[in-house]
Amino acid sequence: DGVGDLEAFYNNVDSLSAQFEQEQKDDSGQTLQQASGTFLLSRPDRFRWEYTAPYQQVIVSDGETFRFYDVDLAQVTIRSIDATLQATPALLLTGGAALEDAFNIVSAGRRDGMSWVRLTPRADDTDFQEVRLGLKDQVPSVMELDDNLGQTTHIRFSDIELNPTLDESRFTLDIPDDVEVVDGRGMNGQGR
Amino acid sequence: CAIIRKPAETEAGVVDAAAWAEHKNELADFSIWSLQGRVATGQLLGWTGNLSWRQQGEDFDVRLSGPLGAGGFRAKGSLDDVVVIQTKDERFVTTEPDILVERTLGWTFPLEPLRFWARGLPAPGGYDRISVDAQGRMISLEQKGWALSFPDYIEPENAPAVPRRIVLDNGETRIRLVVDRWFDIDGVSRAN
Repeated sequence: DGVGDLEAFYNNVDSLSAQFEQEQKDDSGQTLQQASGTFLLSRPDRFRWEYTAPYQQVIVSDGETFRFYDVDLAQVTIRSIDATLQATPALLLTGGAALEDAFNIVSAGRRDGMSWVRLTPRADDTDFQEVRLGLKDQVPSVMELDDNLGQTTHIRFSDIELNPTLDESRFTLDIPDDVEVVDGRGMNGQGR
Repeated sequence: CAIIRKPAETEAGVVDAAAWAEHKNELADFSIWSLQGRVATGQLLGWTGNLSWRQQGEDFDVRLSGPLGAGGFRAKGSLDDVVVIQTKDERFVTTEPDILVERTLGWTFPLEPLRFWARGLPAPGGYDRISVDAQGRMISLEQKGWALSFPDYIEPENAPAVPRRIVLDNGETRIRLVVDRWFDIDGVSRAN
């Protein structure tokens, strides 16, 4: 079932690389945002979430800090991991104990050739109301995140490679010097 | 709409009054539009996120969300009554959304005038200084305490040229907005 497959994923997969397509829809099904890019994961808590179209944004976590770099806007925001990772889909894929603490996880049947898991946050001030994860052959293929404001983010992974060797440097960010760096470490989340 | 279509008299900062008048007319008829973009603010409370804006005549649905779709706010409504939604159980009806939004984000996001600025138009109610280029495109504006610059424009299908990048500064908050996509565009088409 879903939860069994998700556990198998955490046990068998230490690193992963994939392409993703992301689409945000509002409660009337209208598309608000579309973007695509690449996702790298290295357990337990390193990841790189990089948008390549229609804009360039890189989100990396080296396990301690979370760096968010928007190339067009020429700004890097740095946050400590605990403050922000809790509220992002990235936590779902890194998994581990932090996930069970943060979410109530139940199997949610099968559809579209995938076994599904439903995750509902235990705390009530998180940014997501519910997250659904569709797994194919015990690997996450689709992620759906319902936020608190009536918007759903659909993410579809493709070209998934399991346990690739990923160089350390992929999880750090070399920040060009003409970029504004906003270091918010120790602040709780974003502008709250 | 409040733009008075009077004959184009010369105005300080406007290179070609006729081109500006014509461009304003086209933009004023632009009643249905949506944009997808990104916003960054510098200073202490550095914040970066995605902006979705849907405009249907007087009604708008604006969503500002943090990276990966978390946090921020949603403001829906029309001129005089706006519902600002922060989390699923915090919804406020207001006639002054900008104040509420500032409390949510911790910085000022000038929602009401941005409805005009985003299209490259001054908001109704007079302005202190303006500069418009020979093609009738607004390049800079000082209005309502904000200094704005419009460094580049894009020309989406069946629509007049609209800003691709806007920098807004009111002395406290400096906002950079990049528009990635204009869509669902349907202005009143006039034979000209």
